[in-house]
Amino acid sequence: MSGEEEENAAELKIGDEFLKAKCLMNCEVALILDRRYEQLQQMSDDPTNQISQVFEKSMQYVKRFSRYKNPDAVRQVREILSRNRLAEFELCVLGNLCPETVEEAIAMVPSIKSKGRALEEDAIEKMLHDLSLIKKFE
Amino acid sequence: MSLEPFNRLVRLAARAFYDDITMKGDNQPKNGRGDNRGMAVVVLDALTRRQWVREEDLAKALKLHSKQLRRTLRFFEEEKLVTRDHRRETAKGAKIFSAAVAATADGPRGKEGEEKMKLHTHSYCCLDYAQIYDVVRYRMHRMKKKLKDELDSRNMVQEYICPNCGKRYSAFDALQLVSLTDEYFHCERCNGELVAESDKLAAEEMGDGDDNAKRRRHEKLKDMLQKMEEQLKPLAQQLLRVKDLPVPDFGTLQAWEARANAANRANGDPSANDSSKSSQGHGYGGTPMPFLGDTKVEVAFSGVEVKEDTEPETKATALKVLPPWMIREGMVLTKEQRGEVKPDVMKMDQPSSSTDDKKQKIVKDDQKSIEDEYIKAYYSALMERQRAQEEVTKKMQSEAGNLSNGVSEAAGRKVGAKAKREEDEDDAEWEEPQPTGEVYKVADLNAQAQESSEDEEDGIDWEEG
Amino acid sequence: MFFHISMEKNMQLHPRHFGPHLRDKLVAKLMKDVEGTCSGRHGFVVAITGVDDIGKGLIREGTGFVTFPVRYQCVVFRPFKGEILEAVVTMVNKMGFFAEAGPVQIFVSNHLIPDDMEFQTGDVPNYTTSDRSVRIQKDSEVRLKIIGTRVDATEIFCIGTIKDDFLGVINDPGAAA
Repeated sequence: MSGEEEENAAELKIGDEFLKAKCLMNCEVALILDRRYEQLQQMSDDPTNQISQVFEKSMQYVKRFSRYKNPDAVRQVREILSRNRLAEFELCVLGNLCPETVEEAIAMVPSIKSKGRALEEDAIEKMLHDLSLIKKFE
Repeated sequence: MSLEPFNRLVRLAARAFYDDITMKGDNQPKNGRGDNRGMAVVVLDALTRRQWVREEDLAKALKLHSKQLRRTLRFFEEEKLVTRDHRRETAKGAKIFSAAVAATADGPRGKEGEEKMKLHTHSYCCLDYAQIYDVVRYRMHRMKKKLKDELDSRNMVQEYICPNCGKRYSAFDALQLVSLTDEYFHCERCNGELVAESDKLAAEEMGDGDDNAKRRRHEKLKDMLQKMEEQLKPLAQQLLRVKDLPVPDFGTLQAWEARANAANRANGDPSANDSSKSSQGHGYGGTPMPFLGDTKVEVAFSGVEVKEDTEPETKATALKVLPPWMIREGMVLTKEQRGEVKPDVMKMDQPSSSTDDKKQKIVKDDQKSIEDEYIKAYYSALMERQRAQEEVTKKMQSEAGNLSNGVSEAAGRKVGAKAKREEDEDDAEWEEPQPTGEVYKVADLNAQAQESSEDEEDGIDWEEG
Repeated sequence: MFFHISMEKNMQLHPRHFGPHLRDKLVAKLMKDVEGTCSGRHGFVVAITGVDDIGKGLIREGTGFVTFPVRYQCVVFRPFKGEILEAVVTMVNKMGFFAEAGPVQIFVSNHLIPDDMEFQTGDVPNYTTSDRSVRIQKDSEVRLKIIGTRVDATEIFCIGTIKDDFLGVINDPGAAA
């Protein structure tokens, strides 16, 4: 059928538009939505009535599933992940799920091991280790 | 031979997966002539008979256009079967290489005149056995997983059907089908309790066209899986066979050359030139290696040579590990030369206890040579015992009163030294008529030890009797 | 997955808003119109984070309304087939369970729940392993893989699985309580 059928995030087939777009980790979204929520509060006395259900659900979700809370840690996470020539999407899946082992990381983001990619297991291992350190010292 | 099982693996994999691969050129018209299916197999087969090889030489040997070969090799590099190396070489280097080629009389010749002092980029290639093993295993795993996943209908969107009115739903409709009163899905039309389609298929037969298609598909998948397992059985078995064997590794081109040259120097005894004959007709000697000297490429040893060459080192440290490509059929080598055993185990004066665990494996490995050597050992042990017996009789004559205590000890020790190998094992003790027997597998002696212990018992009976 | 993307929309504004606060009016209307919507292509628009550019307005003949092309940045949530994400279980029944990941609903049918997990009916219906070590019930957090998305103009609905390596329950509210 159409392009819809072709879609497969495991192979990084998410459409050109999203492949090139900036992805956001849950923790980054949480920071953005927090700020936005404050703005809304200032603008009106009753922000709840301005807020869409999508906004509210998203906010609850990213707060619940943010692995890193403070903005410095969030920045560091992106910095570490960016060193490894990952696609934006891959970077954010790893940042969101925080796999503990190389095997788990590859299961979560199979595309990092796909044909033509030169990401060594050692590099993945190091990356995961660095991420766990941030978590520990946050 | 540690290489052969892996080569068989390569040949099987080549036929299983690369038989119908065609290397079509971008500019080549797609006609009958352009069809070069099967070439991939020929190239892989050729590589199993070589180690590092210059790609031009391989092209000539296979009568292929070098471009065509390069395309194939690039494909195999991507498939992770082959490692390649490219480097710029002076014509002089190439000349020496060619000289070496000429010396081995197997490769192409007559390039000397054409090449001046220009720098040429030459490509070399070599099978990467370790990776091939992994790649083949992974490939089979993926094939099986894919079929099995589809069979299990894993990752398939579940379908539901209403047994009352026959209306069909998919899991995507789940939200609308949820009931507030019970834990089932209910039909939007008649409120009937929906059943999952797979359950229904198992339970009853409905002559629905869609169902038939699904069932046929299921049958087909099953069939495919079965066929696959059947057809890939030899390959799977070969993988199993190879599983615990040490993987042949030629190293990088540089490392390989360095080793080849070192070995060449070590054995470059000009007096041993006669063995150059044996370097022909052997698969592993087919590839000449580039080297700096102008002597012949010399990778074949007789047992005598090995012993002579390595003797000083044997004394000082352990025997040198021979690279697998230097080992040929019929060579008598120690395990450490084959690199199959860690050197520390292999020192000649090692107590037998540390090699005990190796026994069983080695016995199987070299059944034949053990049998040969067992016979030899048996006879020499017999001779020793006769000598000992003479001694005993002499002693008995001289010290008539002294009973068999010391006697049996003396005899026992001599026999035991041989049989149990607790003491140093000197080659001289095993006097052999054939020179090939000069270098022993230490572990073989071990194996003999068990068997010759019977002799020992025999001997004791005989002494007492 | 959340994305930060740039989108464009033609905004129609009534002439009564024309004045010094035209731009503010336009942005406010944009937020009201766009935030919380869902399109199959871009997913759910969670929040507008900035307006890049407002083009020249075009008067619509006969109405007096003016159309402005507006280019803006926004956070969207778009689930993909093959994506692995975490979600909160919202409902469990005999047919499977429903979960939520932000604005998107995901259904995991019982044949995509590991075979060793059995449905237990009761006040808190749940799926539990025979050794009772793992349990899925309302409010459990699960890691699942999306195996299908149904996208229509205003809704995205997903089918998920937890029947694969490294998928399943991440925390167990029953055990914590």
